[in-house]
Amino acid sequence: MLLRFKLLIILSGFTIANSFAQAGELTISTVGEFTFHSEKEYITPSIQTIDGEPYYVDVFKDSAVLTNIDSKKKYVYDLKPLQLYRHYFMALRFIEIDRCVAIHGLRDQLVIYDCKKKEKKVIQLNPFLRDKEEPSIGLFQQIPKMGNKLIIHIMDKQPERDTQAQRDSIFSRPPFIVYDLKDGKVTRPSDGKFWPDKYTGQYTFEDWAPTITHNDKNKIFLSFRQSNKIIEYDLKRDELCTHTVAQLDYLPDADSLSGGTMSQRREFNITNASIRNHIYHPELKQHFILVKDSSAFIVDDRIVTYNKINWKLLVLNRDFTLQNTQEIKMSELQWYMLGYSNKSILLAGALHDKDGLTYRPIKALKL
Amino acid sequence: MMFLMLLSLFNPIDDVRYLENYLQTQGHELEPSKVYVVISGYSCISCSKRAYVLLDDLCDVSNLVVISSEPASCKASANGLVWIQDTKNDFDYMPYNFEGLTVIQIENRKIKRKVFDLKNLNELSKYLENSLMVD
Repeated sequence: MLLRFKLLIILSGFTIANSFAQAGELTISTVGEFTFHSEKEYITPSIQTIDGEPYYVDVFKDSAVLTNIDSKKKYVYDLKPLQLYRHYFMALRFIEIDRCVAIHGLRDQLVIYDCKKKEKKVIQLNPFLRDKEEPSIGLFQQIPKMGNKLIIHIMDKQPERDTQAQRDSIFSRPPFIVYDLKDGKVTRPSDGKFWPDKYTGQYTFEDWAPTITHNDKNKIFLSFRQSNKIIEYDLKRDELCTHTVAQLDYLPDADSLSGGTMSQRREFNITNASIRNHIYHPELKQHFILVKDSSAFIVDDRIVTYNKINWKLLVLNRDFTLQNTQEIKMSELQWYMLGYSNKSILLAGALHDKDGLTYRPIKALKL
Repeated sequence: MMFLMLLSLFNPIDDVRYLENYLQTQGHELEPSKVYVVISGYSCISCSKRAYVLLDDLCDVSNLVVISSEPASCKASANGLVWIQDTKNDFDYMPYNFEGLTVIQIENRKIKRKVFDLKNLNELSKYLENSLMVD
């Protein structure tokens, strides 16, 4: 009886969540399957646009493998001189086909590395960081490249995170700085409302780093796991504005998780909807926001896993009105990887084994 | 949402039958006199390793059953500690929502559990030695 009542409540939540306008069906097709590099010390994969072309980039302890998604041409680079693993470089971004940038998390450095000449240039980020700030590195951290500029996430140093004062202090600060690859200058945006209002004064959510995407010219967009607000920053004007996405109004309130234990956080993350990724397609001029929907916590006497929850991709126009909604089966995809090519959005599939080899399918959402 | 959070408080997390079913799938029967120690996969790896060292010291205790995704240490195997290795972490998907290290005792078909943060094992060590191991 109690379970039925719970289900009723959850279903009513789904009804609200599903009140998205539904336009025509979009199609997802597989554009290629890529064999997984044999090396064991696998760090993190991503889909990156390099010189206007989409690449699947696998990063390992001492090497990187780039595969052009359209032509299937492969490039393998030795990254030993970067000492990637030992120094916790977790974010690696190719700015040209043979040149990459990485963030050295412990030394607050940005490293530009020429894979052919094996030469590196180190840029010290300290002068642009305030006390207790550091460049953000994490397993799925990206270094977005906007034209000739790199967007570098910054955040408070981790040991300081559990104090409310530290949390509050970041609300007026930009969560990124911008490095210009042409003239080597670093720009730090002026302080302002870079965070949604409801995050203020709350030490609750785990998403310290917002998802950052951009229009490849001058506009940077920030989205947050549990907010219906998208923050837009104009780099040329050093100006901020906030957009509200009506379809995301059902994301939970900030105080729901106040003081939660690890178990409570797990339940919170499963039962509540959240934004997990966001990418802007500069040619189509549309936003693609990947949303993990709300869910029951226990079904058939088992805790629900993310793979069993409904995910959806919201397609929003430039003015943040809804264009379309695409249901996504997360058992087949990996939420942290989104990329784009000419007229489509690229999604990475989950790894699977076949004939002793491991494969990663890349799927294209044609629009 | 608040409703959902409140209702979650009434989850049948003390109902022994999930553990009983789980143990059967692993080829074991539930024995109410035993103390079950579950090391959740939702813990940091180095913290879990410290827990294994601690359990090694206690492995001559006959009423202890450890459930973990990791294999038992040599010392634990040699001393015959009952160690259920479940590489799929299926135990983490039982409705109990385990975290850290959980010590489970069974009383009147109900689960009595105590959760320990793996970052601070002193408390666990004292608990196991003082509360459970004295015959």
